[in-house]
Amino acid sequence: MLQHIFTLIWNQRRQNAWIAAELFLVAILLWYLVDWLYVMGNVYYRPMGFDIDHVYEVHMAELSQNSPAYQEGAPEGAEARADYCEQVLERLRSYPGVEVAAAMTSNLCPYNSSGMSMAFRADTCLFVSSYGAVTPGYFSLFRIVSNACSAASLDEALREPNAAILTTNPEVSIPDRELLGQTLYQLGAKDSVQHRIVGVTPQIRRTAYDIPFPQIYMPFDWAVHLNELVFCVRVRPEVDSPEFAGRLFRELKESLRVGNRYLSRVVPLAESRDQMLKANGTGNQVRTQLALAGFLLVNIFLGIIGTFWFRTAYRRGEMGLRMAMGSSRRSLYRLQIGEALGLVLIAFLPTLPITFNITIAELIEVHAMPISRFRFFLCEGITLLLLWGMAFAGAWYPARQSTRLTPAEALRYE
Amino acid sequence: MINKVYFKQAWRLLKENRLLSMVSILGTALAISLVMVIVIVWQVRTAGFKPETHRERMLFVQDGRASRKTDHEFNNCYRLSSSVVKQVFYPLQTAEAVGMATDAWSSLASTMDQTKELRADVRYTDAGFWELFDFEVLQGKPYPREAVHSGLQEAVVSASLARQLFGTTEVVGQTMQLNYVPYRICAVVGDVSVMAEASHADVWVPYTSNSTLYDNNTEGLLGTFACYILAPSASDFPAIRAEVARNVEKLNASKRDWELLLSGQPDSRLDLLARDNGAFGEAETGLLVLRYGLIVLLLMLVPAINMSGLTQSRMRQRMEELGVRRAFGATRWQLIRQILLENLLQTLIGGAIGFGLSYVAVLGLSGWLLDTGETVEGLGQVFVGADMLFNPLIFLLAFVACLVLNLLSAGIPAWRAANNPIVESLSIHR
Repeated sequence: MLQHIFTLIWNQRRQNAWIAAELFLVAILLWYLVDWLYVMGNVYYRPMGFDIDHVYEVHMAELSQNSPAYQEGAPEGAEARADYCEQVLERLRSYPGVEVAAAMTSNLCPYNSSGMSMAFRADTCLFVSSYGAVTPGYFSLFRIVSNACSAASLDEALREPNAAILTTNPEVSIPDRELLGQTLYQLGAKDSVQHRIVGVTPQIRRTAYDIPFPQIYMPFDWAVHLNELVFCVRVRPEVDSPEFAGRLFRELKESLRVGNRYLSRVVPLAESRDQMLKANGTGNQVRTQLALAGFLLVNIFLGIIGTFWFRTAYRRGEMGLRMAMGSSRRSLYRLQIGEALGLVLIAFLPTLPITFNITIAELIEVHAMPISRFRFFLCEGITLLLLWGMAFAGAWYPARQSTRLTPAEALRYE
Repeated sequence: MINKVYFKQAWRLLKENRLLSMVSILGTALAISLVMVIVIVWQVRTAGFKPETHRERMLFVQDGRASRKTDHEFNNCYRLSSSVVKQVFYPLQTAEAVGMATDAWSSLASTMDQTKELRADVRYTDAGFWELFDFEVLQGKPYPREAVHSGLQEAVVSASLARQLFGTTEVVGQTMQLNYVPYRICAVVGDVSVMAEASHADVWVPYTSNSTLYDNNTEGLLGTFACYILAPSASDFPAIRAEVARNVEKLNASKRDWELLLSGQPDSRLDLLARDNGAFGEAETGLLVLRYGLIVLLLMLVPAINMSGLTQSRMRQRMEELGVRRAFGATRWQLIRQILLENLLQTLIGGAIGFGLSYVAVLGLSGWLLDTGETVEGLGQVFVGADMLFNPLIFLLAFVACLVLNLLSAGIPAWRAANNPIVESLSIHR
């Protein structure tokens, strides 16, 4: 049967040339899209390293001097800033439903677009990392666990002055357990600021489409500008609701007028996440690639159905003859479907050297996932199955129609 | 006259082979609709519309990078400071108008007695901002230079905001509160679509009226301002860029530790869309255009191959007819023309359907296709005006796309069919 199919395809090679050329081109384009979508899908479902369910961002803003509510002579300096932070946290913690409250520099708040990074040294390892300050409570708020100890003790560990907690970093060749207790040097800023490493956590990702990046958490030294400070609260699930943010905002508006700062926004972190994904545009890119893949597949479908419809027209005689010679309708049907699938296979195989070379040349997405045999064969396999599916869908109707003739009618055409 | 015969014949042929005609028309419609979606989105994102009517002669500076003179590995990045705009961009001789503005920030807007409160997007601007765009001023006048100089608390509001806070759009002279600061409303303008990325907001106020704006950081180089330059025409862009480069050099010479790097800015609208690494690299506009061009080409190629195959098969059926006509003296070119025209009818029908579909897609899927990446917490809407969507260039491009597709899909089969030796055509086995 198979050899028969390939003979048929070969005999009609002139008619098959166009559809084969199209299949060839589409197989390459489709593979590229399938590969990209596979990588993005795979990255999307990896763990984030933190949890934002029932967590809200609380933004405090600076009151303009033009406001009648502005108070002259408010205290300034590191101690005043620490006091301010503690006051806000107190009021947040006492709000009914709040489980944990913490403050952090804005770059350490998930889905915040600011960033700060620096070169660091631990033992002999030099690496660049993002860094910022957090108050104790940050780790249990975001459910960040430790490689060596639990979240509660990470919060405790950070109470030590000049402590530092790192996310595990593949570029640092020292194993995590040995990092504990080591000195961390901050390079390039003011001389070599020193910290003691007291904890290591799993990797953190910025968004679901990003690969992990290194992060370092330190306690506040209060030289920071208050505009850099962001507060977050985790709310008990049974108290949480879509109206919670609005309610917290209305009810704490008065009491959160601390110093010359006011409560400006309460946002669920899920909303910040959606905003960041929108700004990055990756979600739309995924939709676009899916639409292009769909476009290619529909074209294949139309091409196959058109080509095979023609065949039912001018191969009537052949079909009639086969039926007269004893072929069953079923096997005629299978023969035509087989032709379609065989055609796809013949056009598909020559694309393999090309796509292989594209892979080796790393012209595909390699930042998020390295090239591998598994990835190559999986994506090629998916591409072939999709093309076969379309070929079957396109050839099915014409094949069925051609088997509906009676031999006498079919042979009369000749 | 003879063309009319061809078209009648083509119409009859279409009706004869229903499934095949449907397949071809559908394939054409799909191809044209995809190409036109790209064209329409491209137009809406780059062409001018109210109030950003003069996008084609506008330059943008959005990314500021302060780099340590002794070691360029140390950088602070944000937007420009107001002093940089005043020193580098205000004095430009080659520009027609220069203005600056922050992003539109979500703020608390309320009536003075706090009975009505809502979130509004507020943009802090200078006076020059108003000369760059064509706002529809419904009442009053936007704040002038003197008001900005004195830091007056005056505001321009959108019609929607006026209605939400006061119930009417006649609100000039009324006072509203913005983040607990009172502002006197000096003008009301028509709503601006969120698609107008540089100018949209619910409220516009002088930047000097807010003492908390992040400004003049890193030796006075960084702040929250984007600078917009209106050129007399696009051909003045190189002169403006050269003058900006000179002014930046002068500015940097006066700084001690840090210098400002603009990496090729000011950007044209297209450069702005192509710039994806802030001020750390040049805007790769050529690459962007090449990429889109390649995609469009590949998108047209696949259905073209499809259609070629189908046309080829159809030609086989009509070989006898063509052979007879050639035997009776028709030239090759006459036959090719006939085949192309018959195919054109099919392409135009499919093209018209595809064209309609593309508008449906752009309007229905505007959240995806027209996304500017901005999330709006205020009253702003993504609306596309008629002047954005229906411009002659789009119609022309649609027609050209049909012609190109027609040529691609019927050209080769037509040429081969017309060149088939007469004897063979007349004796072909069915």
